[in-house]
Amino acid sequence: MEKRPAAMQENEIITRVLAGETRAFALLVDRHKEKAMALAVRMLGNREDAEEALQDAFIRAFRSLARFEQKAKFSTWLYRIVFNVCYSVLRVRGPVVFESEPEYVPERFVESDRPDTLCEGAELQKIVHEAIDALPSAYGTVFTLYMVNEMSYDEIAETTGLPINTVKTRIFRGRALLRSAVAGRFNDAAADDLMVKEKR
Amino acid sequence: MMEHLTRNDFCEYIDGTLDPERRRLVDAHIEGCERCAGELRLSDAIERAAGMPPVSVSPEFTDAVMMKILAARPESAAPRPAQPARRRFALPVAVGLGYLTILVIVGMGAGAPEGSGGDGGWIGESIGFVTRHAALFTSLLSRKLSGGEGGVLTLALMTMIGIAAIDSLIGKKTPRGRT
Repeated sequence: MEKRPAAMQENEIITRVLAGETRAFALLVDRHKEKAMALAVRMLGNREDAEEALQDAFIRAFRSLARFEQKAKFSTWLYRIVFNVCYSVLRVRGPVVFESEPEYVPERFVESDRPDTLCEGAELQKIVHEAIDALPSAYGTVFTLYMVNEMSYDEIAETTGLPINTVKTRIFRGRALLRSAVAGRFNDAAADDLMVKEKR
Repeated sequence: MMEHLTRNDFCEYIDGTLDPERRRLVDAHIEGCERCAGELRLSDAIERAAGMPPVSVSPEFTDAVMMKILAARPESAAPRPAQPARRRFALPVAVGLGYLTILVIVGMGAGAPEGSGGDGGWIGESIGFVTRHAALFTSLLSRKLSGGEGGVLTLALMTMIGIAAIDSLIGKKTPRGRT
């Protein structure tokens, strides 16, 4: 019996594409486009450039699919391609400041920066992503690779060419920055409200 | 009782990377500390929101990608599995070696002095002949076979210089015109 596309394993889809069923590649595009887009937007800063770069990345992934070793995760391999395509776009635009180290961020826990007004779901997500947008670019990309693209420290270090300790530091400080930035948008009462709701 | 949780504790707790002993301590602490328990839930909520892709992609995106792929490649043609390097280079290497052998034979014939085998100067001429043709052939072959012309042309140049060096060495040992 033919499996439903949604239930198909990724390695099965890849095998089909390599066997000549080009259209099966659309399943991979559908599965990964949103998280890949998150990375492209984070790196390039606007949707139009990100969408163009992402199309380019998927086409490159298709052309190189035969070289993908199925021992690794397809998503990790794909995000590396997306990263490289976006990095090339940034290099054409001008000097890439990806290596620059943002100013020091205090890492200690501060109770007084609890959220002020609380909301959930889409609104919380919107606020959180606005806060991520406001992160220094050096944090934003690494943070997105970790949080959205679910890459490990090692994978991020390999993809970005950064030392693993820098990757760890940026993620750690990025979290601290994010926590403080989101907290600034809320008040204590609503924060307590979330805490109660989350507890249920 | 342990002190309040650190930021590192929150991160590692959410990631599931706290070592088991520390995790037991943290679990015991948040049972009795509403402040840390609340902060942990909040951090977790923020991180879950951060992990969601922030932008949706237009429904036409997949079709646009597939149109470009299919325009460049008909449905039946899949990306070919990569050939092992040995197989990929086997043909050009075999052709090159074959051509080189022919050049050597022809070059020896062209450079050899008529009716004499004693003078060694013709060897230099033969190698010069082979060098020029091998370099030309390699550069033409590189253009035909791959986009990496620069690399193969450099190789051709190095081959030419190498053979020329041998040529001059032999030339010195067997100087022409000397009786």
